[in-house]
Amino acid sequence: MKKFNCLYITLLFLLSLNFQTYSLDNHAIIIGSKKFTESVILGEMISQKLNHSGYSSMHKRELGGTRVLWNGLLQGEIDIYIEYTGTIIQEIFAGESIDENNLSEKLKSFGVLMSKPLGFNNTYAIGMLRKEAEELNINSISDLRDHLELKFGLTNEFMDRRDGWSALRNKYNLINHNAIGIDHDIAYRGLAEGSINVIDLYSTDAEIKYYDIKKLKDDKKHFTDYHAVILYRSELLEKFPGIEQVLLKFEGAINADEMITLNASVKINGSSEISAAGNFLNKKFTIEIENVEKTFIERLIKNTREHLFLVLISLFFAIIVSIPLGIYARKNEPLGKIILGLVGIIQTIPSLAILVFMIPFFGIGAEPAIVALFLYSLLPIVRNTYLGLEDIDTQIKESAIVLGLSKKYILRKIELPLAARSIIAGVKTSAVINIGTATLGALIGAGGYGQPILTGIRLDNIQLILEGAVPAAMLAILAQLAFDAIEKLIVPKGLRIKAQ
Amino acid sequence: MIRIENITKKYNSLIAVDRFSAEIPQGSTTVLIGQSGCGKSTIIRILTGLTKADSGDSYINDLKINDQNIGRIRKELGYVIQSGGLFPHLSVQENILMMAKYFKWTKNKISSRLDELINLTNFPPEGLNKYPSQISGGQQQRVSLMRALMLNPKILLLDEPLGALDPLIRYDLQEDLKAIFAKLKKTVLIVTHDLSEAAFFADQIILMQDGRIVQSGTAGELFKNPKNDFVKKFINAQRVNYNSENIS
Repeated sequence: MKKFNCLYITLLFLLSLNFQTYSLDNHAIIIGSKKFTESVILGEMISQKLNHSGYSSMHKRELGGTRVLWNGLLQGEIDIYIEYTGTIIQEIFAGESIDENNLSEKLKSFGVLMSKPLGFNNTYAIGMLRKEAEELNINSISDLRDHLELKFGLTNEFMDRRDGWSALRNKYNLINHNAIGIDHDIAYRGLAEGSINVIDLYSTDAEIKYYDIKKLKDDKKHFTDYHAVILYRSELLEKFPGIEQVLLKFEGAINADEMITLNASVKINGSSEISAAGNFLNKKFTIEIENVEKTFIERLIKNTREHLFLVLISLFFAIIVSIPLGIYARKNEPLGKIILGLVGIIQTIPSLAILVFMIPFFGIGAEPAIVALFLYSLLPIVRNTYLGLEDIDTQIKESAIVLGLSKKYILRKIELPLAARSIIAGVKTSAVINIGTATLGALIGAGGYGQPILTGIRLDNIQLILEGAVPAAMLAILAQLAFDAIEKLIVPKGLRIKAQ
Repeated sequence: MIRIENITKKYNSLIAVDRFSAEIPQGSTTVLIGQSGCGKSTIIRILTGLTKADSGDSYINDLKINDQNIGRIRKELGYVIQSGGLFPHLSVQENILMMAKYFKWTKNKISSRLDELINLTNFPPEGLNKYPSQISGGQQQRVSLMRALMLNPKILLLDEPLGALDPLIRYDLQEDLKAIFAKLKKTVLIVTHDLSEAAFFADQIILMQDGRIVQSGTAGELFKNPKNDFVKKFINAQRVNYNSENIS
């Protein structure tokens, strides 16, 4: 009984780490945004406007791509997000005969409502550095055909879209051109330093001006319109009847120039999305928004709490599952080899993929991240438990058996202490991997040290990247030290003497 | 008393023990001897329940060795192996007291039994708090013997107990062991490949070859009337070793 109380108290402690976030989750309207600046600014704007109008809202920022947001909306993990009409037609309802005219109807059948356009069209474009384009005399996408030497760096989303790379390539007969998939923000830097020559753009990107990029003419009219619209769950109107009026104030409120200026203020001039959104609201709706930007320390505490929550909960469950599983595997050959094989296979799935696989089952936020990290932490502990038990000298085990000790007693008093060093090494490995992998959790809304890293990459802001990377590295080192100390406590003295 | 009736044991196609029968009377010491691979260790493994015979039966104090009885039988067995088989993570004292703690003996009972055992085996009390890796091979065997004797079993099975020790330590321990066997009147079965050691301990020697008994009897009977050329050769080879050991 004592042991179970111990586990229970540990679990309660771990849950309390994130208590504040959880209690918020239950009452607030959740606004999601994709992991690019424009989406974050618009998400922030809606959140601030709702809060100003007396609603309690929370902005879950930088939640990855379209699929994550759309599924999150359908499952009620988020209530509102900004989407583009082109994306809904080309990607969400790919292959169906949907256009801007019957889009609203189609969305309604999913319980989702759509506002009218916010006022700007953020379509895709293909661009090059103006200087290079002029040297090569390239003005339109068709002109690219004869320039096989040009390297294309396209966003992963664009590579996979129905109206993306493969469609573009067919339409413009760019069959012999090759493209690599790359993060949008990194693509700009690659373009500037010359490692790639052609990239895809969003037409409201702030960088177009900053890097002096030439948008190539879409002479065959490949790209459709991408009007920004607000998508929200129809359920929301039942809970908060007045909310639609607030949301619809944004219809036609932001033109293309305003959006480019907003993007530039964040990406080029370095103000935060929070203040950019706030300033815009102040001007546009003449309302006073009080900016509550978090200080460095507040952000560090928040990120640390979120990160620890992900790591400790997932590691805690990994330990209480993996050690018994390792023991079971060792005691039940040849089934044991199959168990080791299975947890080994989980380890081979890329961590980003495993995070995204969890979304259909657990939505977005901390839960899917914890489940993914849990699965990822299994192998080192299971394998080290198994090997630790396997490595015990046969003569020692047989001596214990012939003495007449029960199997359970031998396991508890002899085998597990002898395997302790190996088991702890496995837990240590899991913890360190887990701390690193948890930074990816930010992509699916789990927060943690990944959040500033993600924002830093997006804004090309080294300081922000370090704000996440340095504490994550420190935490990994701390974990190493902590486990060295735990090893001294748990590994029996007799074994440590032998090791000296 | 140990009784072994017509035991056969194969490992895949290799016959380790072939229709082996023997009886070890209460209070006497029998030595199983032979070259490595002759099946002598398999006999001990069958008696401890670590290995099951393919056919034939064995009895410890008239209790047949099988899954139902093995728990009761092991309480009657003390088992000592060449490397000691001590638990490296436990102190010498924790090793010795393993079974007393398991059966939840009282403190008084435990400490008086511990005193008896360290006197019996001439083990220095200051060594009790050390760990197995910190004491010599000879002392490790004394600890292993104390652990085996803790519950005062009627039968002792020793598998090459002195095999890993250098000659002088071996000599001391041989003397002590013989005195202990005589004092405790246990039924003792020792496995060894050393004929001088066998002659030193045994009331009865059983010489094995290829899983079968070649000859059994007292040491004198084997030396005087070797049954065949193998026995002669075995004795001669070992005598040379024995002599050269004394010279060095």
